Amino acid sequence: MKQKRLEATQGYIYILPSLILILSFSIIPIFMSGVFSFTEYNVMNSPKFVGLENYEKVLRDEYVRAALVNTLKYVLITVPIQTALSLTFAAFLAVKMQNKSGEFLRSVMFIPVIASAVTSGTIWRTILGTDGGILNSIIGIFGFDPVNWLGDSKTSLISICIVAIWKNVGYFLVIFYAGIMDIPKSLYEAARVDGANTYQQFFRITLPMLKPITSLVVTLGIIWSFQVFDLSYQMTGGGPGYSSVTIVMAIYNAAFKQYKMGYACAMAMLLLVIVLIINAVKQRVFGEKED
Amino acid sequence: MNKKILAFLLVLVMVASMFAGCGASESAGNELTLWMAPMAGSDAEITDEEFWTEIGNEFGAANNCTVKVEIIPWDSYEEKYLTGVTSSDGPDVGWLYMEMFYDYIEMGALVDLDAHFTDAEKDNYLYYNLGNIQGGQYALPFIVGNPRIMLANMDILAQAGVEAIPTTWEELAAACDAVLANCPGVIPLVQDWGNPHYGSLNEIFWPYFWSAGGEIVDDAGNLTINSAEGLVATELLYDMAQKGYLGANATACDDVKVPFSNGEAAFVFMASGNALKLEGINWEYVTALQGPQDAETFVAADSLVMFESCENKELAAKLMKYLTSSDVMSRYHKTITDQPPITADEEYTGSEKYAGLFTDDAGMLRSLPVFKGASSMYDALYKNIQSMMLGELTPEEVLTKTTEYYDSNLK
Repeated sequence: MKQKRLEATQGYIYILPSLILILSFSIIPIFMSGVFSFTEYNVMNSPKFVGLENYEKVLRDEYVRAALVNTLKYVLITVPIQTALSLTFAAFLAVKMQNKSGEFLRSVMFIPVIASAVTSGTIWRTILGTDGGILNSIIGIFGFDPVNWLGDSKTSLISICIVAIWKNVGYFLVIFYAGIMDIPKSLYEAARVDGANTYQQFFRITLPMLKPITSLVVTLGIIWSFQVFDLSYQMTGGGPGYSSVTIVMAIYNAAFKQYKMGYACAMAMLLLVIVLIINAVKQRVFGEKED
Repeated sequence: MNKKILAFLLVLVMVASMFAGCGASESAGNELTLWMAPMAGSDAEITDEEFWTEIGNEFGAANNCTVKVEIIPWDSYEEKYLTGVTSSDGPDVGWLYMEMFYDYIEMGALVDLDAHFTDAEKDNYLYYNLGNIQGGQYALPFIVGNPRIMLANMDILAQAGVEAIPTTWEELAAACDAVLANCPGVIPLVQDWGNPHYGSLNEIFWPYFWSAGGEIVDDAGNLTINSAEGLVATELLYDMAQKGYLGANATACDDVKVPFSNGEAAFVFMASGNALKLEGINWEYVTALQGPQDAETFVAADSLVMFESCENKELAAKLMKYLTSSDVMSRYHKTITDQPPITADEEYTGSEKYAGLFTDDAGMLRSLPVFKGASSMYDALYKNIQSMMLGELTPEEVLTKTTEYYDSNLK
């Protein structure tokens, strides 16, 4: 009994550093944001309780509304495309390129992941430039007129989505690749014996076996997409007009430009609720059960 | 057993090191923290950090103290100050621009400097009174310059048959028509409405607005851009876009230097300091175009400030005086950024081209007012004008929507 208690104590001590980190940088800040969202607070002076006023204002604020709509569009565009692309590339590399070239390609595709958003944004501003941009020069070869990628409200958000997909695919590719390599080879051998072709093997074995991995990729993709800020801030500043303003940009502006921390916290709590709801829906879609 | 003890000790070290990182740094009375803004160009002889560290070391040696210098990048300027100041880890002496003042004064974070300067010292500063904001001397004007001027490519004007650089709105319109008619492929007036930051308003909106007679806020701090004068300025921009003066896509350009340097644009509004870096272009400038009411343009008025958290305010004031002394300033203006003097005892050593800019034309230069929610209002206005450039809003809607947004969210 004494030995058990000693082991339990040791266990708690071992998890203590992680627990303190999670409590300090995740749980307590979320709780504090929740509290501050009911206050008028500019950081320097004491918070003043204002009840639901911040939430009422957030729901009426057309800037926030535009940011929410843009962010939802961004999630709907980036998450499915980056998931499909990374799965496709991972499957291709796992099946067709189990060699040095495949390793090289995987490394190359991971480079955008480690590139900073500022660097990526700057490079892509050059690529997407209207006059003299690389992309417009390429499409010009095929006789198309130059597109005002970042300066037109119809294309600015899509341009940011393209860059985000380019940046994220490498990361999710590695996750999918590891998942595919974990699928027992015997399943494919049995399927081949039964006469299944490559596509049937992919849709009947690979995809179902990757369900937990796909769920993880979608979850991460949704969370990251809702947090989009730096690319938009760097590439368009949320413009032209409000066409590429995102919800985190709205939170940032409220907190650091307007010094309205309470208001920013209310937006952050709204974002938290939206992500939780979407995650719950996603769990239903993937048929996941809580352990 | 030894392994368990070792593991336990490791855990203790991790926990202790975590807490060690949480403490706020405390500056002793003889240590000052100085936060400065980056102004040196990429081709400058030395960096801002090298320059200010050298100056800090000189001051430290003379006053038996240490000056810790940090250069704050522009893209995270406001949040760095906010998080630094609120976490008691901010500077003793810092550098603020006009949009930042209101909130820091309201928060009580800035020191009223007046008592730290003698009358003789005050008289020596050319713009000392500009630092009197919201009833106190919270700022010591440090960079009063870099006015936004209109440049013309004189070779293009000659090709278009325009003999002299325009000085009024009407003359500019006539010159743009001449460029459109005679110089195919040349944009008459390039403006960077594709810039992600609202700072472009200083070049491409406020000069028109002020020259039309507009005022951004009234004495009570109410936003007054939605006025007849504001509409005249906004409609002027709208008309210029409609007539093709700004090129096919005004919102496509995020850096006016490129087309103007390449000889692809006849006119551009630009900071005077940046204009001096242009090479291979035969350019002349006009300080401000005469509008219906006036001829005015933007001039930067960034200032040094002292924060209330500073433990040794006397020493900090001494540092501010040293930083703004004619010796340091003339070195700064020569090596880092070409700006006019801020004290009477410093000689102007800048470009001959601007000999009259800071004297004869000084009355045309004005800075932004200090009011609540300034930067967010500018951002909203900028975005609404972008929408107008894309045909999504009318000039009236730009002003109405911005004012409504300001009144309901920022005021």
